[in-house]
Amino acid sequence: MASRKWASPFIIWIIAGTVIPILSIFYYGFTTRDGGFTFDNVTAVFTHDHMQALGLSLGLAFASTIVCLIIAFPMAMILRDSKFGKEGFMIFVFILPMWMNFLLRTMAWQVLLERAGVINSILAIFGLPPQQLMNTPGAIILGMVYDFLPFMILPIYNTVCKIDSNLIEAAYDLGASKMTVYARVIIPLTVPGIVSGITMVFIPALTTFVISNMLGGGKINLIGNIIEQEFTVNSNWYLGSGLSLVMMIFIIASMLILNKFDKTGGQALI
Amino acid sequence: MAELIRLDNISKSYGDNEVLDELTLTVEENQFVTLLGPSGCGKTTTLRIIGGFEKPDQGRVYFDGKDITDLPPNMRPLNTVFQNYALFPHMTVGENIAFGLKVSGKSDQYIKDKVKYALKLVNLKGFENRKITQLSGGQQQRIAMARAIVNEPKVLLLDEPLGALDLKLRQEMQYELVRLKKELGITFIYVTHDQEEALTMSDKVVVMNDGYIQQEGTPEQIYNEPENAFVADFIGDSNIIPGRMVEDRLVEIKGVKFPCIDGTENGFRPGQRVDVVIRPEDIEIRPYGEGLFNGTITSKLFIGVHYEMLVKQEGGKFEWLLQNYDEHQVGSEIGMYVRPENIQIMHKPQSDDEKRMNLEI
Repeated sequence: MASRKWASPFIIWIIAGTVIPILSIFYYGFTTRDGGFTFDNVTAVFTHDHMQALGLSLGLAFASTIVCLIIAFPMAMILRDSKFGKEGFMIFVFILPMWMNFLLRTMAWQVLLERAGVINSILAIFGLPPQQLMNTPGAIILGMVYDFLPFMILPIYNTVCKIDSNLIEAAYDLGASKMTVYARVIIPLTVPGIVSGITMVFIPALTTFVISNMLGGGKINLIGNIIEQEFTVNSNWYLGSGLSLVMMIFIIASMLILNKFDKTGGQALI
Repeated sequence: MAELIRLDNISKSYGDNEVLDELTLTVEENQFVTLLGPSGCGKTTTLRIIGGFEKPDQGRVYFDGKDITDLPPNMRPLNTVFQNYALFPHMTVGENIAFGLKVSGKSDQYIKDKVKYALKLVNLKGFENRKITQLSGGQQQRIAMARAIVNEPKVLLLDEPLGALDLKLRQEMQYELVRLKKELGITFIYVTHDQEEALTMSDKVVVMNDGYIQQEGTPEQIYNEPENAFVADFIGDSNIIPGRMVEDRLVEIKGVKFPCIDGTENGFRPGQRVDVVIRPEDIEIRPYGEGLFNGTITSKLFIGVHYEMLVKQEGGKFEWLLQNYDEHQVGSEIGMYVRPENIQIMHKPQSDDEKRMNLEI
């Protein structure tokens, strides 16, 4: 078969890019420095600091996913209903920040939120006291929402665009109010997009360490920061891998839960 | 019969494109009314204005004497069967049919009984738990009907509901629709571009073109007495020929004088130029020299029940379209005769507006 021959570069890619790294993480995760087998690297997650970081990560990732969803769904509906080809431009505007470097975009928020930054300067003009904006959980959520919002809007926009207008008209025709039309027709039909949007925002938000580093000022430690420090500062690949495996469990679990909501569209994700 | 719906002086444009121009239409209770016309004639827009999906730029919509122009579709006592059925893909057949009843807060038992009844009515007993994707086109069509009629609307709006079905199924569904209408005793407003559908099912046909109503009447009136060349051309095959009144009850077409039944009493003065419609099945074949005029058969097609022939008029270039049950050979010379009552004489368009009505010819 011709297709098999062409598949070989991809198989090499998958082996080199996915299988080998995962196997090595498994290896390091269950090994001591002396090369012996251990569960300690994995169970290390139960220590107080790690649990706190994990809890905070889950909380912030959850919060920013919800905020993204709240912004993205109405946005997608507005884009869907806008006429005269405006939607192409609107989508372009939303995608535009993605053309800029991720670090640069996050750094821009630093400038805005700093104690002597843009926002506090504006507050000072009105005689208001400076606010502590940087290094708060709020700043991190803001950064996550800003960075990941397009990943929520695009899949939701894609699904709402595919909803046949006749279905919405049919629901009104059968006597449904606007609320009912949303609750029983539009939202159920948007589930595939919502599920992939949640996946694409929640997972990177859960594992990020860059946003928390830059907007948390090193004072707020997420699980991503701890893993990063184990690899870089402490050079403890064993503990870092063990904690990564725990994260993997959380990611797989969240995908399984999401798949329950969407039996058709979500299958491709796992 | 009492008047149920009245469209009063409705105009509607999309940008520069005027779709409806001061349209006035009355629908009586328990009528099967068909809006018939080519695509872009404004028939679907008219239906959408009745359904509440479009707002007219001008004019009012009355239902049972009440002005419903500003009422949203969910507040109107009518239901629509959409062209592509618009069944909810995330619901089962039963849930689809129950949608309207659930929204209006009916009891579970009532809904269950009604869904069962509706499925029985459309000959799909026991389909409650099927998925929409498991249904054929014809079945989806029936479910769309069931979902609409289960709410007991006073009027059912149907937007080319049979358009996507194959010929045989379409003919079957035509009978079904007429039967359903009889059983339910409600008003149907039906939109189609298919003249056969319009003629077979309707009590009243409204022929539309270019945002105007060209003619309203029973299927027989529309077919036998078209008021202008557009209607004659759109409904069935016709010979539409310009002619001239010679005297009362005598019209000259292509150099041949035909006795007819129209004359001064219905406004045709001698010498006046007119349009004449002669249906191909109304031209009788006689032996050569025994009809009103003669011709040579130039082509012959067998189309099921009858033969369709083109006959070139003797001493002229005009080719007449004929239909006959008997076979005649190409090349044979025949005589032709038309009964006076089968000659339909129409006024030529006078004003600009009337000209516009006839633009398509």
